[in-house]
Amino acid sequence: MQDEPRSGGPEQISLQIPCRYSYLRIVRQAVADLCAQTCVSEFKAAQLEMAVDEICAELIEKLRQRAGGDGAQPLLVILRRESGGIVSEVYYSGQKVEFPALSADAAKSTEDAAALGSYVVHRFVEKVEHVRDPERGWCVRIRKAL
Amino acid sequence: MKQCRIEREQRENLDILHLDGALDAYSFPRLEAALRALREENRNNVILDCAGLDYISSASLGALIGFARRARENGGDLKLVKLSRKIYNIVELLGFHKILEIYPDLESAVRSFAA
Repeated sequence: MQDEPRSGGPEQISLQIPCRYSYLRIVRQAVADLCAQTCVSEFKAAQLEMAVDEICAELIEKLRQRAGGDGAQPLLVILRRESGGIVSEVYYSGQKVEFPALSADAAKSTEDAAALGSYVVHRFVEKVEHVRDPERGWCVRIRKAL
Repeated sequence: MKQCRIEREQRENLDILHLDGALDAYSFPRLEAALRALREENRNNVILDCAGLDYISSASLGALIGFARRARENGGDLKLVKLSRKIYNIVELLGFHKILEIYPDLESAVRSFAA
């Protein structure tokens, strides 16, 4: 079996995952693959991987709470290359999920998973947007510069 | 990417948790359970062997920091060993390397408890 060339690969990866934690590793693998094909450094790839994982984990937590477990709607994750960066979009339906803000100092003394996750996202990517998409619901969009 | 396995090795006054795989939201309850068991047994000298760890979430890092804080209050500590460059970089960028003691190998971490 021969591996695919590192410089090629898709411009975009779309994944629809059930609203379950067990699917997080598939999302991280997709981020890692796109980063590898884009020749992103190991460290930047790990940061983007963690930022996307934290967003999905927090959404899964909140959406499962709202739906009472397995009734939660799936997440749509779109990863794509853009000029000079990689963009991740995570779409979900229903009401907006609020992400708490946390300072660096506060992060070192909290065990609040949601707040820590939000801190990681803002620490590791350059741009974070939480916008309403008319067709797909809410979207958490982040951009990592290469 | 493997799901996380946590194996506990008990020595005289020290516990070593050997981690293998990813510590994410899915495997987090296993980490919580392992740390809870240590707390309940009042075992406060703990080393986390991260040689097999390929991912760690912020919630897991938060749980480790919380455990280390409580262990220190009881005269112990939680120390990390054998972090991959990738995970060390994450821990460092978040500033958590100033809170958690990190050693390159198991022997030096074990010695630090004896000192």
